Order: sequence, then structure tokens, then C-alpha cells
Amino acid sequence: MHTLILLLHPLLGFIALLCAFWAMIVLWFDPRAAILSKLFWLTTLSLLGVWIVAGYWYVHFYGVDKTMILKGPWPWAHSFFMETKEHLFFIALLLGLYLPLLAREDLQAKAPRNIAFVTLAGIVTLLLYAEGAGAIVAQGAKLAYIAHCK
Amino acid sequence: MQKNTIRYGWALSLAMLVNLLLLIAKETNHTFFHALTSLTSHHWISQGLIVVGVYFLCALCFTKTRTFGAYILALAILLSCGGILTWYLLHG
Repeated sequence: MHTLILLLHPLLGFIALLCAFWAMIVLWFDPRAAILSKLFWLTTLSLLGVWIVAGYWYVHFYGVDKTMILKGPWPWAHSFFMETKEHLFFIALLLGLYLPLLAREDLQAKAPRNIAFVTLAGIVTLLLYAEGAGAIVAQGAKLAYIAHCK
Repeated sequence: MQKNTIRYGWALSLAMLVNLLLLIAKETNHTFFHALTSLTSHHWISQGLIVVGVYFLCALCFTKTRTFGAYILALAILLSCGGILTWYLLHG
């Protein structure tokens, strides 16, 4: 069960990133494409899934790793990367909650390529890409456990 | 732009700034940090619920807003993301 939760976190995050990136490309080339609405909703649902799964992991299991990381050779893996990541996530989540509203808009009504909406999908993509800093946190934990075993 | 997009756009901008304010408040004030923790057993859960709550609550309240510019959202994103990054660069 723990492994499933651990794997679901990056998997759902990747799905959200992929959908946001795809939506950005579709918005640029064909703002009236029917798939946009599905992509927006899939991004939102994946982000909500990430919030629950990652939150469960963070609250119940991360405490031990955190203590180890702070004692290890890369304490900044937690103090900068993890702290920044966990707070930037709320911004990605809020933007993700806003995306389905765009699906109701006539995205070609005023401008053929609505730069604002393309940028919004791009920012969600970038924020989710930044969430990949979890790899640095994992490396920080790994190095800390190796140092502890020596 | 539809009414809902405008209302939720304002709510989104405000909620992102509330997220930054909550972060600064809990990192500088231990009483506030413990109050947040006691709400749901973990400060991160409480912060998330408050931020999402503010988003939906503001959207319900902002019924009279008629205009919303992308620059407002851009400014809110820049302030909140920049604020979080700067805070942890200086204090992390």
C-alpha cells in the first residue's frame, strides 16, 4: 500500500503536467478543439489526486526522512527544496482549480490566440515541472541514510 | 469573459497572496504555527484547506466584479511565487 501511494504521487503529478502542457499547445494552435475541456478537467482532477496522495505521504511518513535529511550532507534538500515545493504546490493547485472555468469560455471570441490563457497553462506546466524537485529531496534522503550507515 | 471566470479570477489572485501571507505568518510566529497544526493535526493540511477555502469563499462573495485583467493574475502569481522562493532562499 505504501509503495502504491509513493508511486501514485509522481504518476499523478506527471499526468497533470502532461495535460497542462498539452492544453497549452492545443490552446495555441486550435483554441476551439473539443479536447481542451477534457485536458483542463484531467489536469484539475490529477492535481486534486496529487494533493490527497502526496499530502497523505507527507503527513504520515515524511517526518522520519525530514529528520534524516536535516542531519545529512544535504540539509537544504529539505530546508529549501521541500519547503518551497510544498508551498508552490498550492499555487499550482489553485491555478488547476481555475482551469475548468476556461473550458466554458469561447477562447477564440476576442483573439485568435489568447496569450493570457496559453500563459496560464504554461505557468501550471512550469510549476508542476518545478515540483520535480522532489528528486533532489529523495537524493538528500538517500545521501543522509548512506552517511548514517557508514 | 464570463462572470464566473472574472469572479474566480479575483478569488484566485487573492488566495495565492493569502498562501504567501500564511507562509510568512506561520514561519515567523510559533503561536500561529501551533494554532494551524492544532486545526487539522498538520500545519500543511490546515494551510491548504484555508487557501482553497478562501478561493471558493471569495468567489462566492465577489458577485459584483465586472472586469478582470490577466495582468492582475500575472502580478499575483509573480508576487506569490517570487515571495515563496525569496523567503526560502533567505531563511531556508
